[in-house]
Amino acid sequence: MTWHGWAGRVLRVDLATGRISTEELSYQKARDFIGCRGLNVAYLYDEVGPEVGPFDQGNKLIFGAGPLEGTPIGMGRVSVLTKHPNRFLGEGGAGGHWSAELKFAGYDLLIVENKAERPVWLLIVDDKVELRDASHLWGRDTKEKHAIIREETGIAGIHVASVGMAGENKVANAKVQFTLDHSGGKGCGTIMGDKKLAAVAVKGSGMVSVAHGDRFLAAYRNFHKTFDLNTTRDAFVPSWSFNSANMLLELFNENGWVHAHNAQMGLFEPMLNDVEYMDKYVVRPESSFCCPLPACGRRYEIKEGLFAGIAGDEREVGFAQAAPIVGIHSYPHVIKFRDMCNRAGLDEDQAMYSIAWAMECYERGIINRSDTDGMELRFGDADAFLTMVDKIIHREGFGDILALGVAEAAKRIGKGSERFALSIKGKELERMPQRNGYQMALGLAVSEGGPDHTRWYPPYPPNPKTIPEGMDLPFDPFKAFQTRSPDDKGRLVRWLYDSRAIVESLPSCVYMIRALLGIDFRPWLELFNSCTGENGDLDDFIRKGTRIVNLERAYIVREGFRRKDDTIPRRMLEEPVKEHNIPPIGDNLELMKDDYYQVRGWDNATAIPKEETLRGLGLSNVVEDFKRRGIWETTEEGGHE
Amino acid sequence: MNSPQAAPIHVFVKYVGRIAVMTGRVRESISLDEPANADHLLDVMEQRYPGFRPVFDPPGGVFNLTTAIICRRGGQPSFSIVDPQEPLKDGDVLTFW
Repeated sequence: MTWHGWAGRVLRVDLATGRISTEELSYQKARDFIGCRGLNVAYLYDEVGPEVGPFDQGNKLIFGAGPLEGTPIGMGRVSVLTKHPNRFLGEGGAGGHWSAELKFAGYDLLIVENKAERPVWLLIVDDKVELRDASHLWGRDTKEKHAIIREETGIAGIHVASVGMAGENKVANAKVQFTLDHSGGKGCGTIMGDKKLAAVAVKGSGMVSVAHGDRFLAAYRNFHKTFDLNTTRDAFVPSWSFNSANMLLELFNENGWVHAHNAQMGLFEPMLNDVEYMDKYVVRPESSFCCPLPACGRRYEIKEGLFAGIAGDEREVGFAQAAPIVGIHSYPHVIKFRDMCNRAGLDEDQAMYSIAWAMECYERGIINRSDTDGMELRFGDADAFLTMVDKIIHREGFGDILALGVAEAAKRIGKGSERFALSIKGKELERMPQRNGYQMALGLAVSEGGPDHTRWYPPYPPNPKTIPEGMDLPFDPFKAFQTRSPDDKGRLVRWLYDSRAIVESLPSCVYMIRALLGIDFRPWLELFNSCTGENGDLDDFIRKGTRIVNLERAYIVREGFRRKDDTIPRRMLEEPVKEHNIPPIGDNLELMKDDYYQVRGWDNATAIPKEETLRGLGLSNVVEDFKRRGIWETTEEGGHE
Repeated sequence: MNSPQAAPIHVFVKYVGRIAVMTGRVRESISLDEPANADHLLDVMEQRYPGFRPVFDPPGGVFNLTTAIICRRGGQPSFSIVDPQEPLKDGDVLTFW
């Protein structure tokens, strides 16, 4: 068939046998699940069942582009997916250019199977695909890996995805690190390291076929108006066009959103400020493929003083939020921290929340120097923080415990320390508040991939004043705007999940969800239809997002996750944010979950999608699978480890 | 403007992102005659930083749509100021971004 938007091909690489093959993309799957995040889970559901353990040969690692990737809408977004070491969906998106190159090389998906005996790396240049020995790359950091591959191939503009030492050492939530310091897929780096796949380098020379060029161009121009500085109706557009994302530090602080000292406090002063960062450390913008928001990525450099010479690219929004979490006030230290994470492929959240937990345990006397390799581990000790980050990367001493992830580390230490471990489904919290943003609490709790704000971005509901009259939304925008009330949050979060699943599957960057693009999906539909030649209506389009989320839920249900796993840390449920007089969430989370499961058509006791819900979405294969496995006969307890 | 006999109140103001570029500073304390509201504060800001008011209160536009003013008051949960007539109180911390 003739493909528009989609490349129409899947590339498979078997690391155990070295076999490389291509196959035609399933049109049925493409139509139902769009691409990228959606297509990834469609393939993973069919190919990696619950009988396969995360570190078994049978686990797979999937890199997905989508139909709009390679066009200016795609922003270079890739979704990486695997069965996470904790058995939920290890999924994450990253920007940059890698995914556009995969598309230009002629592939929608790359599926990596089995494990190599010795470290290898994969080179993709259009139809030339080969596995190469990576013994000279193994043990090197990601920037070194990228530089060596660029030199070895001599290909200008080749883009690389790699694992660092965190992935090679199987640190729990290690990420895949892409060129220009983009990273994604918490836990995917762990599995990539387990498979001994050091890197995937890709360069393509093709292009994306667009079905209706004039319509697509008009739709793109309409899309781009949102980012016009003269006419934008979104406060983030000018800020993210000129400033660093670290401007969020003050905003988080003023709203009581910061997790200072392991979220014991909601206010941290003096807070690091964005102006200092811009003045002293920012060199230039460094955008993703066709991204209209240059300040979302910045090249930084420490020119003098402590850690002079460190340079890299800021991607993780507000990475300096590590400062309040572990209580430090030094930009050089947080930049050094960022650099260490980039080079090692270490998840910043794992590092900062696990070390913050250890600091709290130390100050409470739960652990002492005999546990921490003789170190004083107190909030505010920036050098101790960096030392412990290094220990996690190399799995040395106490760092080997923290490398398991904060939830598992707390289990090992015991003595009541579990109470202070800030994690959801065994994965560290993101720097997102909950007690004064109930929609965020619910969004984090019900995620099929552990804490991941991109699944319901942005963290605040749409300002009702921005919504045009007559727009039919499936939630009450005025109730949704009351962020410390459980009212209507189920419908709001369902809408956010379903619509963002579409954006991440087209793909585009969820940070493009600005102004009306966050609530009016007709522009996205026109981009999709004009690019691919599909002709579905808006209802059908939104149903694709609903279908994706239901299949993701089905995946983790099959792995044993149930309602009880959809929760947030006890601290958020039971302790107030004293500095802002914000009460704990208490029973409101369960009220919101009742609401969410009801509007989803999921069983209230177990959070398992009902048969009629799955059939209504065309997921009859899941229905048959659930029946065969007796999923609907299982208890509320589920069965995962 | 406010009554000349009224006692002043002091508010603490923070500027974030591009707003700090406009003001050339990241924070300052401002005195206002009581009773004061957000509109009065914008008057003061416009005098100090010409061009400030239109950023937050564009002619014919919608207040607080493309920018935001966050208010923290007396240890209470913060809130966004969406009405120019919102009264201000002594000790308020206002963040413009």
